[in-house]
Amino acid sequence: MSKLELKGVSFKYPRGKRMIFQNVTESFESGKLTTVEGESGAGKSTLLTLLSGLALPTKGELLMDGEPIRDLTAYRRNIAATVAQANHLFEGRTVLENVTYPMLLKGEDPEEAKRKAMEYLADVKLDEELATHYPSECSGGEQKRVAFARAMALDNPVILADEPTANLDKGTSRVIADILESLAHSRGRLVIAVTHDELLPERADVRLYLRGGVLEHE
Amino acid sequence: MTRQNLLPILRQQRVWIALVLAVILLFVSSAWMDKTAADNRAEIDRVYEEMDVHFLLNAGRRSLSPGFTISLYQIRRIEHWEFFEDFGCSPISTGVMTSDTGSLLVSNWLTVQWVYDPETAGIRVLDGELGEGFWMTQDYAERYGVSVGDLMPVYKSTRGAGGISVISREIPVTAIIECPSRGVYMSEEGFDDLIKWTGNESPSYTMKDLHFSLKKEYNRRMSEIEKKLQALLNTPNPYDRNRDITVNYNASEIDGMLKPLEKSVESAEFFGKLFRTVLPVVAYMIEFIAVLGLRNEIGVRQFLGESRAAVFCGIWLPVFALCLPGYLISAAVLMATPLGPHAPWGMAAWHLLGTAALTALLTGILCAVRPLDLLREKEHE
Repeated sequence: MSKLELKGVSFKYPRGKRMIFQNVTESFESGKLTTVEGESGAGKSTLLTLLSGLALPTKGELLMDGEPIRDLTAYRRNIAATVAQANHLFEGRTVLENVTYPMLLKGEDPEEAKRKAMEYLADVKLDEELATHYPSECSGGEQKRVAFARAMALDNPVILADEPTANLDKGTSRVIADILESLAHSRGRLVIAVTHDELLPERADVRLYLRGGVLEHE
Repeated sequence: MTRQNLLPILRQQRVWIALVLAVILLFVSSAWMDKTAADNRAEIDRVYEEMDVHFLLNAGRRSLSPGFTISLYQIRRIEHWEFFEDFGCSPISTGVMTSDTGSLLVSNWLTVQWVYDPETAGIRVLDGELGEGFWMTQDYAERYGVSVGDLMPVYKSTRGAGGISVISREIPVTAIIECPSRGVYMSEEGFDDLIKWTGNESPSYTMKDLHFSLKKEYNRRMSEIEKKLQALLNTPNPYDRNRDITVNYNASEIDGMLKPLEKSVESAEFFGKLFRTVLPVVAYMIEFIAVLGLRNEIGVRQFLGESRAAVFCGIWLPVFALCLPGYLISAAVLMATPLGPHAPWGMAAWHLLGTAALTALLTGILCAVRPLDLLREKEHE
């Protein structure tokens, strides 16, 4: 059972005047889908930035299984896989290469990585023929699913998703919600999704609300 | 270097093709221009070595006379310059220029004659005496068919000019110079002094034209030599009675041979310089664009947890490796053609170093600063 914790975390952007969070303490557990809601500008994405290891807290600590996170690069590679709102796919690589890359990064055999990548693409319900397409040739929903497949390929215990259903139709949103639920419940991952949407919180195990820089349980 | 690292870079095909073409264009055009300039310079050298330059002195346009008069002093100056050979002249008349009568062979190309009139000159002649100025040995005199009596005695002028009063008729100047062993002789400077001393009555010679050719080794200095001649002939001085002599040489003919070649050299040098200035900048700009086009690659790699050092090596090495084909193709083209000896290897080496430095710097900056900031900004958009 993995546990990700925010311990007395406060955060302010280096050039910012306002503290986005004040002394936030919260813990997240593996096997559960947690959603974080909040109004626009409440700091949901900033919270995800911290959890993704893209920035260190101004005060407080981020802990994984009780160990404070110091090396953000290693944290991103080995602990937290993030599906960003903008997906951040490799533009110069095909869908298959995008999904293969994290495995190659971890030393996987290229042929084996390719085979697994095809499985991940199937898990997120992407057609096989899309594998040779470039992200720019895919729809928004397809790109999102590629980003999930890549996050799965990293094989990290924590999966983070920023507005995963934003700008998607209901059908695709449902597919994404299925993927998140499956990651948490079937694969035992610690899944946190920041969202505005009603769909995801309805299926979440834990619902949090970010208000005035404080995380509250629904 | 894995295929994975090369893939995203290789896919910027247009950028790499542009870069390879720019580099090839830079080195091949540079070598081409250098060869063109060198060939034309060699052709210019050949023309200079082979062409005949003829100088011609004749009466200036302002002159009313068909001929011109040149003093002995000027003739001797010209004759003593090392530049000329094959003198020729067309005398209009002889023996009319001064009141003196005499004959002087100047280095076998011109015999100047004049009449000496001691009464007019006001100089006392002491027959049979050997005076202070010069004389010649018996042997030498016999060899040249002149008698000792032909040697006019020389002494200091009663007018206090301190010069030599007179020179023997028909005695070559060279003979006078070449008999110093008896202690009394006339140097060239002495002869020049003699001419100067005669002042306005300086022996001179009238001719329609005086022509001579330039020794080939001085061909490149023809305009300088023309100026020297002009200065000698037309600069007012007390011994120069002729200030309107024109100096011509076959400049049009020479220009006709040289101008096209010189223009071609100038043009090749200009374009060579232009290419060497502009194309490296173009190549660097393309490299800049190529690296900048990898921002997404750099950002996403770091986003996925690849270390900065690994991303730097994984980007810079392939980028640099892909810059090399332009250099290698250029080198192959240059070596396979006559452009080889003109290949700008030094510039290529510097440019390659510049490429390595530029791509490393840009990649380093992007790896160190931009990517995560960029991703974070995107996260908040």
